Amino acid sequence: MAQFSSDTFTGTENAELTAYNAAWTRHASYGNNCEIVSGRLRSSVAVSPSVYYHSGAPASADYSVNADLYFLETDGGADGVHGVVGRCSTSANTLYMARYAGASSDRWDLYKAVAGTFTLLGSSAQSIASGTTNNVKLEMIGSAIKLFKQGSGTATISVTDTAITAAGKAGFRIANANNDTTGIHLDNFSADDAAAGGVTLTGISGTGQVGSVTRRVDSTKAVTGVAGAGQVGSVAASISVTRALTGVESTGAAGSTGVSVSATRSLNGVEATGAAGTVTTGANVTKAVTGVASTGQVGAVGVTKSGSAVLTGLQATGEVGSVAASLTVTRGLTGLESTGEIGNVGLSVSATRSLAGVESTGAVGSVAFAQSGSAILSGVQATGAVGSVSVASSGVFPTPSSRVFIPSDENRATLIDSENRSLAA
Amino acid sequence: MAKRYYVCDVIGDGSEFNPYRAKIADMGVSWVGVIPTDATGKPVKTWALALVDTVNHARLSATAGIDQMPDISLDIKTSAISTASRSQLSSMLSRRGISTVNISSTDSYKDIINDVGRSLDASFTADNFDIA
Repeated sequence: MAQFSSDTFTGTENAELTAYNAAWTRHASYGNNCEIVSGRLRSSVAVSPSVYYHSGAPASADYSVNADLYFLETDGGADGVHGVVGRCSTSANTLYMARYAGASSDRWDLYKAVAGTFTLLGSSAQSIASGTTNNVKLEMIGSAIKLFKQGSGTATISVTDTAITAAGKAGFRIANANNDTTGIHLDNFSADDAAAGGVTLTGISGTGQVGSVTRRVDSTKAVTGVAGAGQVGSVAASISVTRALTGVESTGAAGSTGVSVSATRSLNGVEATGAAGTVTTGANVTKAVTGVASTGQVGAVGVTKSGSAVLTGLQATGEVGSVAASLTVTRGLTGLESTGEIGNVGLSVSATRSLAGVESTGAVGSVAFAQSGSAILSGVQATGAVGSVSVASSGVFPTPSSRVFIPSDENRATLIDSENRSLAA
Repeated sequence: MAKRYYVCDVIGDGSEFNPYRAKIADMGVSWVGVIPTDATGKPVKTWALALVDTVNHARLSATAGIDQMPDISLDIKTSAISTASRSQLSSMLSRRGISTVNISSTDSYKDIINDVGRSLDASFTADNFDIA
């Protein structure tokens, strides 16, 4: 905290305040002087109050004002209404004030004055013994206005008020301390800017022009809603979880999106949209992988999977440089599909059961199909402008090139050729 | 000593010796109040939300122009406030022209206090409203 005003009032006895220290100005709304007495300050006249402000400039409207109040008689006796002021206008009679009111009141008061109109915001009753020094502090942080007493770290009066927002000046207001031995005298004045930082930080959020957003999460439960929006240099999410991971998403013009996930359960919804340089998904899982998808301008899409169960729904749409799928499975393989302008499609499959539904449509340079199996091959189909289609197959298959009629006992044997002409009687 | 929330009249004329204040200020108790003012220093409402710290709240509730709010913890769920207390609170706020639309929909009593305070000053928060 930076201190911008202070005074210990160690001047010549009975010197008027501004003569003692030119940093003080008596407020134009008040006509009575204050003077130095025994290293403290008191009013020079009875009854009517005085307000002085210090020339020190606060860095902002958030600051505190302190002073010690020296009680020459219990509760200030019949005299003494002393306190400190802040956000004090140098022209209008506008200020916040924390004070002790002696006489019959015997209480701490928090006031505001706006254009000379006073409002009491709170009071706390307390009887104070004579010959004691009691600190009073006025703290103003935004709309939080507080009175602290006797050095306590806990506010005695806390209230929200937005009537005075300009920084103004720090000062004091005293009344009814018109001699050296009665009432309340003021000492050890100071004003300090509010401390920066050291408060709770919540809601970290970046929108607009952001260099990078990095979030690392180690969790034993679900992670949801990690998102970056707007012009983002990069979004990196490194996540280690033991349960589901959902909703990792990046939108907008992103340089790259990298999602590295090691999970012991399902992985769903890893998705990149927009102009992405590359999309890479490497997943080692013991259960299903679903919904790996890439749309838009994509340089390359690579999917590598080694698993013991079903692999479904691999799909690429739009302008794609190449699509490579290398699969080793022990059960069915279905639904491999490529649409749009594709340089080539290569499919290498080694399977012990059926292969169905391998299909290529559109402008395709070539379709090559190599199959080695012991069971049924069906549904190999190519449509559109195809450079060549070759099927290499090794295995035992029936070839329908001739027909043979086997005679019964009731009919004589007749040998016929492929055009049903008798070859012998 | 025990603290309790009140809604009460604003009294005074704004002069130094008769400042605007919550009516409860004249009851000899420790209190704090939300009393927003306009550019001339005059209160913008005829009522104030106050928090009072005293041993004798019964004396206050018997005074005209001073209305008690339910004597329950700020953390109490709105749904846990008795129907009678909620009805009494709603009736009192309505009589002073204070919105009651959120009395049933808020999560806790603290939210109700915040709602009443913010109908006076939008920046009000029960977390910065205290008296010792």
